[in-house]
Amino acid sequence: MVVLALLVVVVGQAVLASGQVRMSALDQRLQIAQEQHRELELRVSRLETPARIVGSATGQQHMVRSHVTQLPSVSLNTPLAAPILTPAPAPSPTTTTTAPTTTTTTTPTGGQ
Amino acid sequence: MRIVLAACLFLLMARLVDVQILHSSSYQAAARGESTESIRLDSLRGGIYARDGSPLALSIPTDNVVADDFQVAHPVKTAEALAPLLNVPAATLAPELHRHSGYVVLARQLPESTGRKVLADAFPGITLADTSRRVVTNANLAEPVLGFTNSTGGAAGLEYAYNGLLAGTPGKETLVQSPSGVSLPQSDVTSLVSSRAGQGIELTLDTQLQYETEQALAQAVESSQALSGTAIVMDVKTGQILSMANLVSTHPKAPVTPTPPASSDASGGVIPIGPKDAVNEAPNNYAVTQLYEPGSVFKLVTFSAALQDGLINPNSIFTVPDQMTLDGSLFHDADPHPTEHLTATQILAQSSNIGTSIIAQGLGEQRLLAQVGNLGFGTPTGLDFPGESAGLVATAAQWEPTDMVSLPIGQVDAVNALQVLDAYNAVANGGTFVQPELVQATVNPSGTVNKTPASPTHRVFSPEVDSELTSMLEQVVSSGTGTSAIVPGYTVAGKTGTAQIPTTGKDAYTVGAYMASFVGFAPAVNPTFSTIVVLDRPTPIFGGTVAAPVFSQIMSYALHRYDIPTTPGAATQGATASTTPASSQAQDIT
Repeated sequence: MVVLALLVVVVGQAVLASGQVRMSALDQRLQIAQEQHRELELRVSRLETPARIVGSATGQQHMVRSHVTQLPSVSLNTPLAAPILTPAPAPSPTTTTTAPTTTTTTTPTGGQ
Repeated sequence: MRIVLAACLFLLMARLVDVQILHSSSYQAAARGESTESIRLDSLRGGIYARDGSPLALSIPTDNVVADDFQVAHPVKTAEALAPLLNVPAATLAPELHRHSGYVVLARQLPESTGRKVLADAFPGITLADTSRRVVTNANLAEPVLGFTNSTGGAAGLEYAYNGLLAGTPGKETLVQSPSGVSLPQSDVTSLVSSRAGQGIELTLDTQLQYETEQALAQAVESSQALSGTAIVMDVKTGQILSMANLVSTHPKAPVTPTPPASSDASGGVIPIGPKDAVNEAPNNYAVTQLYEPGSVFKLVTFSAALQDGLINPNSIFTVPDQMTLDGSLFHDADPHPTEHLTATQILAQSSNIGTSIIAQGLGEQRLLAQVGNLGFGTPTGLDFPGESAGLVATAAQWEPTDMVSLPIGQVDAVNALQVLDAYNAVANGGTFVQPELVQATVNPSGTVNKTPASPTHRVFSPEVDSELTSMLEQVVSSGTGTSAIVPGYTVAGKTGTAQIPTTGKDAYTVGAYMASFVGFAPAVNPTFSTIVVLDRPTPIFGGTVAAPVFSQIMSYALHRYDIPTTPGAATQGATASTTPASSQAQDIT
């Protein structure tokens, strides 16, 4: 009985020790992952730096800043022009094929 | 003889009781001190993040490689093995391993991956000490606001103000050591108190808007040869500071060189900001630490009090000469003009000093002083920023007769830029004053974000007075001294300021030295952002000429960035400084 109890204790100890080793390994993997995460976070934030993006856009991509901003303003109270519809031509009794019906709509220009 | 022996025995017993019972704890502590060594375990400093969560300053864990040279049996071989890992020549390392000091730092702030390689090789007597390195991700962007750290922790700016939160709690490791001070190689750690990482702070700053604000301000500082410049953008409703730029010129008042347009700039449209460039970050946050006499932007005090008291309405007519004498002193408007009949709105739009002082005389000294306090001047802004000044405002005891003209036009009280913006933000916010905010949340080491409480508010104007003030300030931009502040597609309300600068140590103003400013908000109806721009000693001197265009540029970017709808009927073309000649533009001094 005593031997059996001792055996159980020994097995328990072994399981605990094995768990401890696995935990240590996991802890180390976690640390490495955290370190990689920090490095990536840093890289992302450096890539997102406005100075880098603007510098790259203007220096390498040859983009230019707009100096004049024009924003057409359309009052919501201004009634929109009524659409002009072009009626479809009447079908010819001699033709065998039917042309597709087209509708032309004009919209006010200048809006956004 | 027996008596002597008994006495000796008694003394011995007494000493034993003293040592073993009465003072046992102190002797135990002394013994422990002789045989143990305590090592401080630094905690990882919390990060500082922008409003979108992107990092602005982070601490990266690093390792110092430390040698206990008493335990290094073969210094030359160990040095040769360590050299490629530490990237230090073996010839440099070998003498370090011969020092016989017991503690030699061989390399500092190495990446943790390198530290693990060193540990994996299990060199006898070589250990690692945890350290960290502070990394700023956006170069020197917003440096005066963020501050910096040194070996003791936060040394300036928010790094200093929030050091208690950011620093965390250091841990302690106690090891058994030999009498000569050498840590025993196989000794277990007798006690280990782990360090606790600091909390991070999430700011209200918008990185992109901060960058654009700094770029616009840098261009203005450089082209106007100003000594320094400050610009702040605030969210009207919440008081959150979206950008706070503080720049200084590294070669003020240098010979004039034409500044090319940003797009044709050699650096691709980017104005470089740094110690070796024409413009650099300011040594501290001038927006709250630098006091100046604000000039005409202070006319808000007089007009708001007069509207509140029913003394004027926007259409009240006053007879305004171009100069007046008070107590032996002559005061005049910026430009000579015949005696005119001006409405209160026109007085504000044209920034008439004489007209403003006529209105102020109707208010009286006590009412003026009370309104100065009501608008937050003379009290801290609530940011708790290190080095912040509450301002220098006149009291009733200090009142002089000429103050009846000087105070209403902003040439008595000294205030900081944020206080001026706060007052105008209250107008933008329907008459409700909202305390400015720079930190919107704290971030636990686990990443949990805890929002800080909303800023306290209090009403300073009635909605009716606020509406009248807004329409009067709109006139300043549409037809007065601030036409260069127009933002295409939006209505803008604001005020220009061109203030004289007192000479240090003298009761006089410096000839030719002015602070140029513009403060305002947009859209004028249901405003979203309020902004101030201040330039120290620019050329030309007028706020309407040098500060208002910067306001327009910054505000235009902010409104587009946040997709604020355009205002129907608003001007679609900006009146920039280049399109509006200074000679044809109304100007103000003070």
